[in-house]
Amino acid sequence: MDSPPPQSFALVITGAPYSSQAPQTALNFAEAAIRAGHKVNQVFLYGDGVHLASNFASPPSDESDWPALWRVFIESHQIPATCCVASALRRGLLDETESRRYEKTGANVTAPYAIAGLGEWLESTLNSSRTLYFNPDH
Amino acid sequence: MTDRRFLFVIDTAPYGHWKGREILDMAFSAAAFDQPAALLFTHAGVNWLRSGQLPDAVQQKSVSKNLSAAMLFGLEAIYVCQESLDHFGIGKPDPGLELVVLASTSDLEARFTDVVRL
Amino acid sequence: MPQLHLLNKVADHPRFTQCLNQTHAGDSIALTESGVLALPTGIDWPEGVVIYALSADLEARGLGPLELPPFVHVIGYEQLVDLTLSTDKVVCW
Repeated sequence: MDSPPPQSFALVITGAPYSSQAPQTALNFAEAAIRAGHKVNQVFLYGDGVHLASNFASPPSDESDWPALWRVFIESHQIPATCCVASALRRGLLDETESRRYEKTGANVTAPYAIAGLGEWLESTLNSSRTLYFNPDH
Repeated sequence: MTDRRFLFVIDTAPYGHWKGREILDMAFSAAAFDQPAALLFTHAGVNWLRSGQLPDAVQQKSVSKNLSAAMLFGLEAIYVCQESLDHFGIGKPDPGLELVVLASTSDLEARFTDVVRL
Repeated sequence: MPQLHLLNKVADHPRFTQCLNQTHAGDSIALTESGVLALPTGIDWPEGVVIYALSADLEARGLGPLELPPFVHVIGYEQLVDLTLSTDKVVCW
């Protein structure tokens, strides 16, 4: 049987880890998409979803570390990953640049995540076969 | 790829959480990049449109100014579900807003390629 | 135009009813996360709609074959990926 032609996805995650299942469902979906030969053009963290980008998340050792699992996945497949700037700054998610700009003492967002605007969401949406929104279930 | 048309659905009440504001930002962003985009207020979301809101009382910013600028931002239309207005007892929504009140929203979504909820 | 609805809300969430109201014959609904909990409740699904449910979410919540109505198609993430590509439009609830 012929396999279907490869397609591309933009994945928007709006549910935070440890308060929703959204990051896990999105990760399982993204892994399956890549196994099937498709491409993930962009992972865009929006609203509470930006918490997934925090390097400071320190879950108990017997629980899944969703931020770490996502980072490994994004790095190993070199997927552009964006943390929405407006959502991030309000919630205390800062990279080095923003941390200096707002004179804060730490930065919890590093590569592979970039802090950028909604333009990244729109551009990847327009360039992908499908955009999926992984919202919290509450 | 066919031309895209975006419908942003606000179905959550104002002030209790930020979903409505964040979907509004997406709608303005899509419109700013010249994408055909419209808003739909339905279910508890119609409470965004009530007249006389004074969000200073809960130390939040009003969104009605943003909404009244929606057309300037290039949004095609702000649709509202009549049934939801009735349900929440909103006889006359904010007269400062240019609204398209729909008796039924069931056919609306079919006219858009991308229907976005948060 | 057939649509796929990705529905992750419990049956008493307002979005669950909204989703059913926006679903037309020929559409599909894929239940994920807490959405699968609607299956044993015996609710009326819209006519002419194919219902899928994600096996990992069923398993996690203790829903075995005996709890499921016979018309449900149990799928994995691979099939969910295929489903999102086999319809022109995906609506995420």
